[in-house]
Amino acid sequence: MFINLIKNEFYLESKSSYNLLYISFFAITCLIFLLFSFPLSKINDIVVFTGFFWIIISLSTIKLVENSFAREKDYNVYDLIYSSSVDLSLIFFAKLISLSLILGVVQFIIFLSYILFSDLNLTLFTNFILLNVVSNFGLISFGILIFLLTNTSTSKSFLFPLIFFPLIIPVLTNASNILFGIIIGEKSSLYIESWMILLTFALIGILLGINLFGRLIRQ
Amino acid sequence: MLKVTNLSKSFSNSSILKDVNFTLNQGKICAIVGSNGSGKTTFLKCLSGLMSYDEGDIDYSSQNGHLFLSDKLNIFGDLTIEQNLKVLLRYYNQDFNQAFFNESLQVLNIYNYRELPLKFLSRGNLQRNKLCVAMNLNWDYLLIDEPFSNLDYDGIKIFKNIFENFKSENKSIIFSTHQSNDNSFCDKVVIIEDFKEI
Repeated sequence: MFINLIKNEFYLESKSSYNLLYISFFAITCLIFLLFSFPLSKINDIVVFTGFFWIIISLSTIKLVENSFAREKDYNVYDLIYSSSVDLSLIFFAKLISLSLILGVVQFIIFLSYILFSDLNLTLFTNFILLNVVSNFGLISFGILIFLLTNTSTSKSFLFPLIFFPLIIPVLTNASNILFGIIIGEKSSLYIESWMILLTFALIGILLGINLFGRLIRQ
Repeated sequence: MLKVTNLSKSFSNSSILKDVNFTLNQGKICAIVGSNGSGKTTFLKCLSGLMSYDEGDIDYSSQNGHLFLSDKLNIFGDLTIEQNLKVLLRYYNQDFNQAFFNESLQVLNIYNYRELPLKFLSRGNLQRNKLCVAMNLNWDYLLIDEPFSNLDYDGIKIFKNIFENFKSENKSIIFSTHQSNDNSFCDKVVIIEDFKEI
């Protein structure tokens, strides 16, 4: 059942040409930005890249979460899906995992483009993947919950990014901090506090999702 | 059997459903009749579990549960009839039967539109697509909001025949309508305003 739900998310995502367009747009924007920033010193280059990287990822998160629900709401298939007997927390998990993976692909494309223009070692990827998994779970789970909170009949959809951005600032700053450490080759133990903050966000996001997703859907 | 006991629902201070008691046995067709804004959709949404209610109890004693088709389009616009159905079947954890699917397209007269994305279909054909979904999913109670809207004379005839077929398979249908005439094919017609049977 769970596999079927994940299959559905990927299938619908692959049919949504707009998402691919947005993701490609962000990746290309990042590449162009990097090309223009090459004359800078290496340390400035890394600082700018890490910050810019997470801003793009947060924007992609908004787009992915919005599109995931928009295609359900556009022609009102929403009623048909959420009145089924399937456990709603399974739908939450399916969305969380599939959107995190898609976000991971975007992160991979951007990071790979950075590696191509710098002399970094590919061994960085292990830590990079771990960082993305932890931060993506936090970003996507909070994204889903805030989207549902701000998309009721009595509130407006523009509130989603307005509430989402301030809330994820700890994720963005700490993830940038860790990414900086990964790129310059410092030990992970130096960033233990940042890792803990990211992990806390991911866990709280998942726990809130399990408990609130159903209620927010059926409000 | 579906048993609704003392169901109440209000929005702000306005009471839409008050102490509603309702029962329906399996294999019956029931029409919920009422004027616009009388609470037909609210009642069906409460039955579907999509809308929370203030008080009361809803009890389905059935194996295959229910299917709710709202008065909206209920489609993924970029998908074809078959793709849309396959996605929905995955949500309901049920298998796709190609032969039965083709047969249902023929019965509903939408076979020629099977290659088109649903967003290009007319309202009437989208209404037929809704019933195609119902035919291909397994359920005991079908809750359908305004099933005859946007349908031509032939469409209404096809729908009524399919409803009769569902009934013969011991499946129940509860549908809402604002038309109180021509519900002779129903086993039960209920006026939403006072929940009196006529």
